[in-house]
Amino acid sequence: MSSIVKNQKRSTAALLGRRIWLHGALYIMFIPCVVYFILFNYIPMAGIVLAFKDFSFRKGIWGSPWVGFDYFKMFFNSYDAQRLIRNTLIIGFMKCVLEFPFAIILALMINELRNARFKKISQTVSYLPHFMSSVIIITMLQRMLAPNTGAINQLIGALGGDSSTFYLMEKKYFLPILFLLDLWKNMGWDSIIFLAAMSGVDPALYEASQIDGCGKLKRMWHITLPGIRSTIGVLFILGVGGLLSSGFDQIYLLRTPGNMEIADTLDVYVVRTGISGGQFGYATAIGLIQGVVGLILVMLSNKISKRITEVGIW
Amino acid sequence: MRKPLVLTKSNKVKDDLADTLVQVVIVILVTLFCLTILLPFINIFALAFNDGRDAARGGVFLWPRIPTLDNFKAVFKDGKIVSAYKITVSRTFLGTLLSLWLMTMSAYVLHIKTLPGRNFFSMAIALTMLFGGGLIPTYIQYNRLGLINTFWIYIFPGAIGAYYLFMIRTFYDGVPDSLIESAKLDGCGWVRIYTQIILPLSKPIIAVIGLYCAVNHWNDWFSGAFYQRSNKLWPVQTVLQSMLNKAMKSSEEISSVGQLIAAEANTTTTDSLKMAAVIVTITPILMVYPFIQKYFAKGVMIGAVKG
Amino acid sequence: MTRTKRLALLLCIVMLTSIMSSLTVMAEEKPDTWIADRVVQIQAYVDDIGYALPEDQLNTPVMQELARRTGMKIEFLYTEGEKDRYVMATQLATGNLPDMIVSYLNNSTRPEFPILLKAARDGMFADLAPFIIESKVYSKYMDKEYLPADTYDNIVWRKDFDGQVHFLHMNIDAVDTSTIWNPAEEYIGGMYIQRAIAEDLGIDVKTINTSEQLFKLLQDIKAKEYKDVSGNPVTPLGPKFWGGSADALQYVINDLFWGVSGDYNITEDGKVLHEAETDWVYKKVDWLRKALAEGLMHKEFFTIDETRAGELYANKSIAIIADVHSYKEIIYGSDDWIPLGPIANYKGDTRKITSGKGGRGQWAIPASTENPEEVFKLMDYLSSEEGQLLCLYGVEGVSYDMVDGKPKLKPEVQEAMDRGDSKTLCDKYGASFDGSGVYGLEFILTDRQNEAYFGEARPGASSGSTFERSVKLAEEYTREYHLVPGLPAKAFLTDLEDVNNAMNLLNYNETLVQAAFAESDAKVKEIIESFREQLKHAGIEKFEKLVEEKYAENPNLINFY
Repeated sequence: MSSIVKNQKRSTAALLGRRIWLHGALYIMFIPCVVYFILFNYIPMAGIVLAFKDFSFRKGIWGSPWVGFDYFKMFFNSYDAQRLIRNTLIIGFMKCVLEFPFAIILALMINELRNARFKKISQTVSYLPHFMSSVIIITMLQRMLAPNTGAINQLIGALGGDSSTFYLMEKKYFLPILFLLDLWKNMGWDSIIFLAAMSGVDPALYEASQIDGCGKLKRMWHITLPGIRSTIGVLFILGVGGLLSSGFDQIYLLRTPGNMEIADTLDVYVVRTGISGGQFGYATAIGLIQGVVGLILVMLSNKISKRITEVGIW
Repeated sequence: MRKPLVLTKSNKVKDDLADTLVQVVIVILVTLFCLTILLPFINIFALAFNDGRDAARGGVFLWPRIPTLDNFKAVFKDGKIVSAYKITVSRTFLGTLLSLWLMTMSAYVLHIKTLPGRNFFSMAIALTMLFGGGLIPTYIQYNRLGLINTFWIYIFPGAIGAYYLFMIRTFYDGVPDSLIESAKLDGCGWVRIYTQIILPLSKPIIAVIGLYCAVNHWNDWFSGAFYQRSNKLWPVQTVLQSMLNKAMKSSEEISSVGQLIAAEANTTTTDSLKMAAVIVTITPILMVYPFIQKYFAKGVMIGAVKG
Repeated sequence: MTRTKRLALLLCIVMLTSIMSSLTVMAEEKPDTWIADRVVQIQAYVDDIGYALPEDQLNTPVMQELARRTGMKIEFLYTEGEKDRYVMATQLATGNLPDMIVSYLNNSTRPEFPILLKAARDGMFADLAPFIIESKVYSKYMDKEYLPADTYDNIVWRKDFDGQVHFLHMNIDAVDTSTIWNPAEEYIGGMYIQRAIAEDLGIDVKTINTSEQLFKLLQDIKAKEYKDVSGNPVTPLGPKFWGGSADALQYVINDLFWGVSGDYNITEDGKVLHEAETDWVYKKVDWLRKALAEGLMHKEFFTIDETRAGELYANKSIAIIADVHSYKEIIYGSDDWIPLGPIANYKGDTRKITSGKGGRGQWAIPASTENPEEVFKLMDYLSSEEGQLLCLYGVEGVSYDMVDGKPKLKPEVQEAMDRGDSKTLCDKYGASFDGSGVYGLEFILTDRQNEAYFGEARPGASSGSTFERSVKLAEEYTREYHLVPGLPAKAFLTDLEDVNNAMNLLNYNETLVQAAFAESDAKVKEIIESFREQLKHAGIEKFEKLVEEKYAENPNLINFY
């Protein structure tokens, strides 16, 4: 009995050895990648131990004394923890899930444009916002949304409505403004990858559908979208990992006393507490929480996606 | 239940009508979207070409009120921006090439489904997107590698992005396996499959990722600011950032008249000047996109397969 | 000649010349002020220093002269970042530090201080005490009377450092002038009103001293329906000149602030409280709500960005600027705006509160620096009369001439200063000209006595034209000082780390604004009650108790009024 098992084991080992041998060239090609990730990601990543240490400038990361889970307790006991997590989840969901389809829709629309010049120009224009710094965008937004004097309010006033709404000071407008702003800023940029993926769809399929008498909409739905399915899947999975890291710049600039109740997120919290100013352990602990939640979400969505569409990142 | 191949005329007209309608709707939507982008951009141009003091009065929207080139002259007068341009262009060029080479190659390896350890590697790479050690361990590591205060800090860190790596791999998945199989039967080794089949077929994704990398290199101001001891190796974005960032002191930070005067002298940058600097900094990289668009016109890839 | 021979000859020549040159150096006697042949690199966590550096730092006339006198040169390093103090924390953590560091530090309550203190406790900085004893200028720091109390007790000679000194406060005035109003060295901050409007209403701007009077004035302005340059209605009260902020309220409704020690004060029966725990918070909110409801206050008073605030003022769309100062161009560039008030404090006193002599900025030498005594000697030299003259005025004959024993700036330098041309001042002359040029060289001085040494408050102050009106305003609208010694109560929060962390997240100003914009009075109450509850949750009672004890021990410690 045992000799058979042994033999089997030996043979699987031999098989694996042979398979590795067969892919030898690939491993050599992969060496730079491994070296890169070890040097630039995994070694610095060891710094995560700071989340469990009382950092001392002199003793450095490894020499500093341990504090266990103190920082985590501190965070979860704080008055704001619940609200922060809720806000972060809402904003993260909005950015990672609700916004996700829009880049695809834009790509679909641009893909269907017939006039080559218009197509080229609109493509280029749509990605311009990616190059504008948040500070400049926010100034323009404030100008547009200003009570009484802003463009939106003047329009409402001209139509006989109430032109005194202070959009940035009212809680209920915060999420819609953030949503539109973020969408406006990223939609064009994000759509580029989908446009590239669409170029991979076999034109023969379109020809066949034309013969079948499919309309434009049907073609988009039945040919283009399935054609870029795996790109959509992978990007979505990668995207949900960032659900808890909803960014700082825009939110911080849009944040006013009127909307801070829903605008305070973990990233804003880290800056507001001045954590980055010396309490490195605490800041690392919060980053770790974000990472762990991200990991769980990525694993879950990967699993689901693999089951449904056979698309996954591992 | 396939529809008959030959369509009746009325049907075809109806379909054409619907298609035209869809096309019109799309054109309108895209135009509107582009307008929301163009208007602010025109505003930036109008401000940049307007006299700075005059623009500070407000009311300059789509056309300069007092046109002038002074702001641009002022931007270039400071020799910094020209030398910074050299840094930016070389880092963008070198960095993008290195990234593309490393990522297309690594993604190719991860794309081979029979590779033992493939899932382990993928997962290990995905982890790097979620966890980071933070600024300090990173800085210490860069310092240990001798990158601080050198040009190479712009090139090596960030050469491989997990996100882009997975994008490229996903694109490779669209390459028919049969192509690889037949190449193998023809006696092609792994390296030749990569250089002769995969690379030529992945022009669209190389174009896109190349664009993404180039833009990231161009836009990055942080590593210039943080990992350089002096401004000698600053890229343009760091120069721009230091210009936009010059914040006014609030009164509690001021304790002497001398300090007030200094703050006045050093932080009085008109918005017009800032906008001119923005234009000078971003225009070159904006020009890249139109050139790469031809690489993902419809059917580029399949054409390559057949050819 | 063969190649080898030629090379040998070349080598001989090189050797000979180098020997000769070293001989001449030896022959040229080193001055008494000689320290060492060295370039001192100073990492500055001060954005104003970073913004004003010469293109070629080591070869400005000032650096060449300094090298001739001491053998040393200074090179400032500046790292751009989100905030200077975060950059400092990170660089301390990575241990990647040059010969010396300087940072902002007005007093020990500044946010930089906890980081510095932690670094000092962790042993990051060299002990400067032995050097101080032997120094010429810094030895004055051993005199308790010379240093401000906060500087002496909390920064330089801290008890927990056991006689060691890890950082030195700078820019200490040789003579305490903090309670003397010297127009050349004062700026007038706070509210400014359009002259035309003040004249039209026939008011004496100096007599508006309470928030009630101000409210009445705002109503009067509103009733007159003034128009701005483009014909739009004028809003009576506008935001801070630098963009919306609740800080400006300290000038607008100063009499509704309970005390002058930040948000805290002490009751008559010795209980320390946060203003939000008293009725004062409602007084403030009521005033704001009324002003907003009647349209007396710009709606974006708290949130407007700097550019748009500037537009409001350039177009005269506002009658009263909540906060600006006399060294802003809008004020000194014309006489359209004049100071308003000031509003008295809650005890009816209009005097300006000062906590006495102060300092600005600190420097420290990292423990990793070799021969720290050389760096120290250089710093000591720079603060001597000779050194200060070099740092502030530059090199004689290049940027100034001596007239009757006092330095006088050359006309071209004066002109560059009037133009605000800091690039020329930095690159061509390399001195600081009191901040208009290389800011760093002014920042690192101490034992300041410009009047005594150089006969004027600042380089060029006696002949400059740019800020003429600033000085005139300070002469016309003199204010008195009132000395309230001690630090704001908040300074002691760092003693209780957990409370401090929790309190850092609470922003009283934001709560006030929230309440001011609340839709109903019930909502106001809810917001304030919730804030009070959060204060309790953060452990404010523990902190208040600590402050009570400290205050009982020594009332000069905390600036309760």
